[in-house]
Amino acid sequence: MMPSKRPLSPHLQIYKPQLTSVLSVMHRFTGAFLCLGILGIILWLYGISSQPACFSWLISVSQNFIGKVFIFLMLYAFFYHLANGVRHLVWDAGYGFEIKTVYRTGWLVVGSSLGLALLYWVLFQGGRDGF
Amino acid sequence: MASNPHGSGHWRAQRLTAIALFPLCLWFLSSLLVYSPSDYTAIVEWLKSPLTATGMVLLIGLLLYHAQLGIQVVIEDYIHQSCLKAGLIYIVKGAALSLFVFACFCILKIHFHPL
Repeated sequence: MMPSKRPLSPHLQIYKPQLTSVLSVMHRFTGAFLCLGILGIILWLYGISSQPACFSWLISVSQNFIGKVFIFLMLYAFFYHLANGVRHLVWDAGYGFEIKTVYRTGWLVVGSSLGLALLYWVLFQGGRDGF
Repeated sequence: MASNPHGSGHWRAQRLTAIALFPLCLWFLSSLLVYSPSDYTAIVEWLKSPLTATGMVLLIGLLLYHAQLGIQVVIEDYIHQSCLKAGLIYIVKGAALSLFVFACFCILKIHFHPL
């Protein structure tokens, strides 16, 4: 292998954590975690289409404590990735780069993603016993 | 970094899939509030509709495409050995495509003849 002279991605450990960097890393982590959600949806479709055992297994897993925690984390990751994704699109359009704005929208993402995840969770649980 | 010769196309695809996924994901999540995902009859009724099936194919396809693009960037950032990097990217692309085909067959089967 030819040694590369090109710059590498920075090693995150050398930086002091700040809201900006933590949110940026979280965008990646939530994105990776959400891949499990895609697999979950496909498994769910497979169960509905041809595997009753797979379907009822998914439903029973989603109704125990660990399943519920997992689904809540998935919802939080989704709304975080959604809200921060919109923030990224706004940056791509060329807006919101002032340090004050970056911090304000950062906290907005933290708050709104938690709020949306809780709201969806409550709406979902309302009138139902589990996922 | 910047080892992808088609960087601008990748960048644009990542953004376009993100924009398309915004309404699709909200449609999917709000539908799950109406048709409980654990209620077999209700969910089959909903999934059987051609409109829903179209939405689901688009949703799964775009989710997998967007995820593949994202994982590719992570691989490009942290794997520095070029053979391994290229190999992993192809594996992820192949996995995403296979999962898409599999999901399409599941959706079609539900549409025509669920279990």
